[in-house]
Amino acid sequence: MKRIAILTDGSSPVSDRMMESLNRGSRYSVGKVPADLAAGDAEALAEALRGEGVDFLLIEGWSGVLPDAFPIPGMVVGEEDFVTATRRLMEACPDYGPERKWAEALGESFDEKRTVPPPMPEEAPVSVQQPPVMPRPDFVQPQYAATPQQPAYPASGQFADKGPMPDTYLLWSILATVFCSFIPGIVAIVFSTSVSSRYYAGNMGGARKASRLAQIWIIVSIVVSCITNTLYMPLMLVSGLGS
Amino acid sequence: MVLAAGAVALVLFYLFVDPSSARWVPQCAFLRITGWECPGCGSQRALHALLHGDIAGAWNHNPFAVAALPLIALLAFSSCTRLKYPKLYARIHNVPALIALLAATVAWFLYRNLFK
Repeated sequence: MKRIAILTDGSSPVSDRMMESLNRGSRYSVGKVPADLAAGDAEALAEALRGEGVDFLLIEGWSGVLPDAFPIPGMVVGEEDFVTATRRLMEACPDYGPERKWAEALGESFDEKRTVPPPMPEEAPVSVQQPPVMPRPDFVQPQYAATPQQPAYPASGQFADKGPMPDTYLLWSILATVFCSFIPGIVAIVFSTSVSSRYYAGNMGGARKASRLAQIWIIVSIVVSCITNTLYMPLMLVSGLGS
Repeated sequence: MVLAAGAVALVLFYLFVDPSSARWVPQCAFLRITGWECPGCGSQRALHALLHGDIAGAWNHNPFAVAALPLIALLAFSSCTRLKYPKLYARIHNVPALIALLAATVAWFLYRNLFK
């Protein structure tokens, strides 16, 4: 799985859309790195990227060019639209194969070894631009703080396209329902199941949200049970002693 | 791992404490307030009985919990090894099965309060 790091000054939405389209059903793990493109050292940057396992570098909103001898393959995104930029990216990453969903949408077979990507289904095929220009040793060092979007799990079988399922916390929801408070616990179980159903529907953002909500309701269940046990129960027990 | 430590703590706790006799053990607020038993009522006593080898007694307290225990154990195992066996984790979270389990829980809840 190729890991792409994107350095951007945040001025253009192109890299956002590229990341969205690549992450959805793609075999790339993409991390977006906010870049403060000040003067710096190309080698240090390459070292930092290598340390994060980055295989390809995408830079956006930058008027420079990557140096000739820059050890990691890369590409600069210019004033182009997202379709063109993504196609250029796919050309630049040679062992990228066609996405399964596109192949199916076009009625083609999903061929792992194919190297030329198919045209995007919604748009007309776009003419390929020149390969990225590399020269000029005058490189700038961004403020590098890696925040990968998803961990790079080994892709296998039918889950290869989607990345791993976010943690559903199902076990915790069940335990919270049974041992702590019943009503918030049921809500937590519902959210835990919806993580699964949204994941299988391809709704990764929704799955992550459901995972977070499940966590919250588990905590609510625990808190409610603590409150009832420490405040309410002693009162009941005391009044029960009287009878 | 937190889960393993928690599981060990729970087992030890129920091994030594009998929820029936001790008044300071957390009790079901749902039962107190509404008079109806929630699906988990009796699970603490059931666990205590199981840890002392009394399966029939455990079944008396909460049959649903006793029957669900192997499933819970499987879920715990797959949660802990989520990263190592992601396919197992994903297969266990089979949505129709989970909905069926939820329905079974609700059915159990209604049954024990309406017919027992």
